[in-house]
Amino acid sequence: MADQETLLNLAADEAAVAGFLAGSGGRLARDEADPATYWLAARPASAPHETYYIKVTWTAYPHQAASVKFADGIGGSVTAPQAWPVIPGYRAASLDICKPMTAEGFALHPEWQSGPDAWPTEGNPFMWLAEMLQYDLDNSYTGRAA
Amino acid sequence: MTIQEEAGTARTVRLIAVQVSFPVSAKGPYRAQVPPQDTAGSVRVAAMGFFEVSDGADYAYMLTHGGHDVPDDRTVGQVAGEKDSVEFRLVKKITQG
Repeated sequence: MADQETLLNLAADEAAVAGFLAGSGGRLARDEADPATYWLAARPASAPHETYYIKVTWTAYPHQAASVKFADGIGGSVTAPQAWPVIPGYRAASLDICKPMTAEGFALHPEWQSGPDAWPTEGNPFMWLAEMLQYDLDNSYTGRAA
Repeated sequence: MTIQEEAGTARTVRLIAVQVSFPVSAKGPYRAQVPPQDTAGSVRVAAMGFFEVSDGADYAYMLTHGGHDVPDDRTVGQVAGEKDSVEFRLVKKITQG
């Protein structure tokens, strides 16, 4: 369970994320059971009929990257490869994003935890994550994983 | 904007207000007034300097507008169209993984 500092910091940053996602036809919802977990709905610009649901779970915000999983709906299962988009570095079979922007990526590559790949802690890292997820959907998306 | 040239004649120069947001900075957005013929690449470089970031072997910083990459050779005027201002986002494009 996340600490009070994390929850306060998330509360300060979430409105900007919600506004950004809404501008791309998506939305942000806070999990009812875990206030440090959010569900993002986002659409690729090239396939606006496709909605992807992303579970983002923070443990120590803004100090550590969040766990990022694609789900089959808001509050849904995170074990379905079909919930994942086909984007380089997004591994539907492993159910993770192997990039220096997620807890899963940093766990796989400890060398990313320092230097230019390190998780950013200034400003609004939640927004940074949301922008990169939306950027990948808009610019690197080629379809839904089979 | 009107500027006075050395010969004493005045001419009107169009400037476009650009803003580049980058969420993981404590500085707030980068802002500048630039002529429409300035390129997105020059804005990108200036914004990266402002935010103190640089490209690496496995990532690059991209200017986006409306969610899409803006090529370096595109002019600010082409992006702005008839508007007097244009907002970009600076996004870290990670190619590794």
